[in-house]
Amino acid sequence: MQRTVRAPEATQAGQRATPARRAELSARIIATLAALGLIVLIAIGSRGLRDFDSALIGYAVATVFTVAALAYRYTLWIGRPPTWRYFKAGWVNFLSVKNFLRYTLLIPKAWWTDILAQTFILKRGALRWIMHMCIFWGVILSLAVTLPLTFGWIRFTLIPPDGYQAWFFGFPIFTFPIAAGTGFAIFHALDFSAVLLIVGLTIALWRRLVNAGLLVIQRFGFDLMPLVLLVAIAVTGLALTADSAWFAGRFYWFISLTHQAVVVLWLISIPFGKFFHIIQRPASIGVTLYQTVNQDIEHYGAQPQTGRCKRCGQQLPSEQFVTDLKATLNDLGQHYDLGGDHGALQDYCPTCKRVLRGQAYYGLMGKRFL
Amino acid sequence: MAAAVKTLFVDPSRCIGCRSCEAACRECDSHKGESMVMVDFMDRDLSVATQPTVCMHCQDPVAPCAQVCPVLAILITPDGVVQMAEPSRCIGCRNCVYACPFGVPKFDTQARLMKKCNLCYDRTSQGVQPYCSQVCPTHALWYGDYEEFANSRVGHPANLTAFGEQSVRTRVYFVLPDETQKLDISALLDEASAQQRAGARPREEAWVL
Repeated sequence: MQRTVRAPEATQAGQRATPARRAELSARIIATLAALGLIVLIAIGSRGLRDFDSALIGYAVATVFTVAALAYRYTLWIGRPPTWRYFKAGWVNFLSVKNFLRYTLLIPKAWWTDILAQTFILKRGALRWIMHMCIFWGVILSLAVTLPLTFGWIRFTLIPPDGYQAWFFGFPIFTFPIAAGTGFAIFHALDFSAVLLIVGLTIALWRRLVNAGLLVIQRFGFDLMPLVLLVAIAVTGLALTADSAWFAGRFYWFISLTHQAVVVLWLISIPFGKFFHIIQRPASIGVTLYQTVNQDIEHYGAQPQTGRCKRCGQQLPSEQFVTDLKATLNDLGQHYDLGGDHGALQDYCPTCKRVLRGQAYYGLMGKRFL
Repeated sequence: MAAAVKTLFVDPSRCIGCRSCEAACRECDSHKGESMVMVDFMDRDLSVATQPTVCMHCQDPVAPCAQVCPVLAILITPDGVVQMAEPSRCIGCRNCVYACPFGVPKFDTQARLMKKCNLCYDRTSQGVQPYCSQVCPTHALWYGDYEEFANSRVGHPANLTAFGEQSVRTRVYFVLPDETQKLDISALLDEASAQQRAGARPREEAWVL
């Protein structure tokens, strides 16, 4: 099923025009600086473009555009009241020596559970986890190889008779024999990542074709298009190797142009579509740190010292969380103060919020039946 | 609200606590085995009164849950239906769970994912009513448009709930007595406490021993 969705606009009272314009101006400046920074790095890393491969210019230009668009969206994104509050608190908590001594292993552990091994996806489903790990590592490995190559940061020179010298930013890094496993692994790294991607994408597409739950809510542009683009990238990438190995490069020009076109499409779609979550996910580490520091995360085993629901006494997330949430709502122009002894709505657990509403309703209705 | 827009009408006075809505909701493939509708007892040891809760799909302020989401995981359809968190984005901060004025979003701690009622969007976007209203035996949950409701049911459908000074206009309606334009939570709770203090409304005997 195809449907379009939008993110919510902030409440009118919560966002005045001037700060919005200022935020947009900052975002434009940061985006321009990010793009210029990357261009300068490309110039330096490729030794004044001497090592820059002009055949790959499409990739480089698309990446510069993507970096600018990502910086623009990222700046606007973190400027939103809830995001900014977590962003600020996350960094304050991270840069605290006290926190570092107390929670030394927390950040590496969070990197493992949230980013590298993504164990939370395992809890959403084993097949889903295998799928996501394949796609994640396939994309990361591909980017790690492709981007430095297209920027001219990495190059290889022949050391006769059968050796290669790898260079990075104009500096010699290491040498290796062409026929050895190292050479094979390096020159076929993108083939390995393509195979990983194809495994993950096959599972993903299969899920999206047969899972009834997904069938009813998935959107073509948001959920399917990124998968289709990645399939096209992986298949055309593997076809390049196959063409060189078995067809004497007869279709190489066509395949490489097609490959470049789909990669460029995918790159410029990152800031606008599903793949923006690659940029957003590390925020979960900041949130984990925030919650842990506030003694509020079960899965790290910290002793919870939480706030309590005003009505039933059940534990809420930390008092700091509730205070920050009220401040965020306040920034958005929303004030849920029930007045009198009732306190604020955020002082209640979700069940008690419902019961309060029900009690108010039955206070109005008595034993009437409509 | 335009007459043609179909939505849910919630009438707690008709709820008999049978939990058919919960059972039907659990059947949905998008959150298999877990109900996004909640039926709560108001005062379990004193009354059989229950209330079904579905997402009210707040319109003004638009979706507080989505507004407090730091990663924009909660999206809203053009027809004003607030969707459950997009799994690729949700970072499990629980802002939405505690910001929602109606106590709707559920949080899966293990999967670190928020889930909530999305008005059976797969069904309602195709003109089919939600599971919960389809199975509700007393029409405590009823699906249709405003005119249709006004022509066939008693009571005043109101989509305004006041929490102190903060009013929230929703896509989903509560059914209130004819003279009542909004559900004013603070005022009604204050009134109930005052009546109880004055002895005008004595607490009833417990019916469950």
